[in-house]
Amino acid sequence: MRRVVLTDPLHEEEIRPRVLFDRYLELLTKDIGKLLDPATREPRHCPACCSTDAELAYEKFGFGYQRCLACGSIYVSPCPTETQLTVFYQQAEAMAYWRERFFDETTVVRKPEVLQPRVDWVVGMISTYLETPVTLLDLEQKYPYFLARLGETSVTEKCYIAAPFPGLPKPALAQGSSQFWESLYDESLAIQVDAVTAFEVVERAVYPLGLIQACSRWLCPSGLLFITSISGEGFDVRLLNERVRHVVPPTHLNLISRRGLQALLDRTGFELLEFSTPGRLDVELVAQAKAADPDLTLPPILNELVTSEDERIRSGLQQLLQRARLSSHVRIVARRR
Amino acid sequence: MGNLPVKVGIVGMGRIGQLRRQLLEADPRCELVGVCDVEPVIHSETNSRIIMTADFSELLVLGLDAVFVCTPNVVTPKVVVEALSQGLHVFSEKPPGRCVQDIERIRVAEKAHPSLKLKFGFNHRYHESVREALGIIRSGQLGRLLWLRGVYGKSGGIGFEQGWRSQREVAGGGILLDQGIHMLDLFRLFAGEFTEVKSFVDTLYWPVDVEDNAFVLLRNDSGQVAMLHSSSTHWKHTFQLDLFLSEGHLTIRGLLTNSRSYGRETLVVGHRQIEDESYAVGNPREEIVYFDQDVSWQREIDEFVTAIVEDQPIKVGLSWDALQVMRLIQRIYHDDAQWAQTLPASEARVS
Repeated sequence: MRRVVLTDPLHEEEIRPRVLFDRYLELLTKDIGKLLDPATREPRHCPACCSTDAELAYEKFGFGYQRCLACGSIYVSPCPTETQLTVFYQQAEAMAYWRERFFDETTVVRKPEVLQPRVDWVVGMISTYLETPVTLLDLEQKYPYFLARLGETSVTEKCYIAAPFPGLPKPALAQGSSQFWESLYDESLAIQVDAVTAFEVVERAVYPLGLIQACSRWLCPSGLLFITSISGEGFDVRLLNERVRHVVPPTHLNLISRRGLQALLDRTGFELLEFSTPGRLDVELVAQAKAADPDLTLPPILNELVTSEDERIRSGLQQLLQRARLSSHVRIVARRR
Repeated sequence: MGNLPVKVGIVGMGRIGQLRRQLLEADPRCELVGVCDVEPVIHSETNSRIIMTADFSELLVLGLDAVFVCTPNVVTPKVVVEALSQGLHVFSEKPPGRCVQDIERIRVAEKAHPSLKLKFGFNHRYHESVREALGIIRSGQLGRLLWLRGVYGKSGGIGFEQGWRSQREVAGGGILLDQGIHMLDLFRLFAGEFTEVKSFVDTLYWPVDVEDNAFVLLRNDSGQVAMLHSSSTHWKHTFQLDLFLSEGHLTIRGLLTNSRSYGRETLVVGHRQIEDESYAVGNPREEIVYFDQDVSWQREIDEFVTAIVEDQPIKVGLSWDALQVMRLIQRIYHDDAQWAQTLPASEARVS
């Protein structure tokens, strides 16, 4: 199995500028109060391994995050229903703000630092493991740049786009491209694709198992599934819990552990080709949280490392976390059996 | 679909022969019928169903479908030709002999038996890092290949001078033929055939009659240049292949082997940044891919067995590849005028 380490630095302020992100959180808090009534939320088992053995890890914005004692995943329970979330994603001001303002203002950094590496990753793996050109399904097309750049390569010949959850609005398809909108969960569909990309989707799903099962149905045998997500076993998540600013409900309902992801993939007929945690921000986020909150206690040796004045020590620690698969940013490639 | 199981024998039960045996015994499509070795190691055979012999011609008449040839270079061509003549599929370790004439002789036998599969163990092509680098290059995302640089070196140990690999009469050549051949095979994989050759070949340290260092410059008709340093005085075991392209670079560093002495196998993928020359820092965005498992040996055997069972052509390790790389090695030996004088007269011809 492969694992990936990224060496060049990235800073939180570059991709989530504080002023913009504070405004997003402000809107999100209002939207949650308006659209996600706590009384109608439903309890659930661990969305990864189905265990009922869990303890409350922390609370955030009125949501309880449980830690699964079987697989180590962290998940929201009680959880909003899919219907509530559909309404939320359609009506929340925070979502519109993210799409229209936040992404726009950070795009100059996100393109070279997040989106282009994603293109390179997908192209490289498809070129190694599949006969090209391939047909590909992208869930949601959160970032049109990804498919546009992919379309410029010789690797894909046709792309489908599907909403990962029922009720999400159809995105604008690039004119003149080979892009088609389909329903992920339409079992009568006769289409099969060689690759599925599911970026930042698993953490939002009420039923991750159903989501991955649907991806499996779409994929031909030996087809590749690309996932990016957030792990409950990541360095910053483990040390900071509710203090991790960028992990917020309801866009982060599941922080699935490595064991949890493995369980999900085993149950849906996949084998893992890559499990990487190429995150570059864990150490910086912990250092920032420590600086902002004197009450936050870290083990002294960790405190010394994350707050070291020597940038090489901090970046060395971050790379070690990547090598040990302990950053909270997860990316995986799985092949359908 | 051919008959199952595929009945196989192994000639040469040294380190590689033992490794092949483990994998063949784990493959449900194969049945190991017999092994052959001149050393007493075979007498420790505990599986009474496996026939042991010190004479390979006895092994070849046991009703085998295929034979694995894991012998010293001086023996390899003889066994391969004999096995093909007996109607057996052949998997042979590299190199295919001591010189170009050896592989030419093998190819004559192969041509006389076109239905048989013949595959050579250019194992490095199956490593994950190599497969992935090839995939990236073929995708075009890093542009066109400009140049390559390979370092493949090991440290000889106690008894190095006495080993068969250090005797020209048995091996035909030194570190270049034994280990450098893999790097040359990878050069051909990535850049095709080379038409120009410059070299320094020498015995710098070890008291042996084969080379312990080869410094090689190659160029193909597309102008792509490859540099190789093959060495048995590389006290730190090293495998590194740099591939520089117009839009970035790939570096394969380390190799997953049984000894793990070549370090963790990694592929560095670098993307060239467009920089103002005045402030260029030459520090492109890099991604380091670590590989956890060496599946190269299984893949190699799997392709060979599948080719037999499903009557498919061999895709990797063709006799053509073996011939071309041996021709290249011969040219490298001959380009160094001083070294050429040490070569036997029978190898004077440069193809």
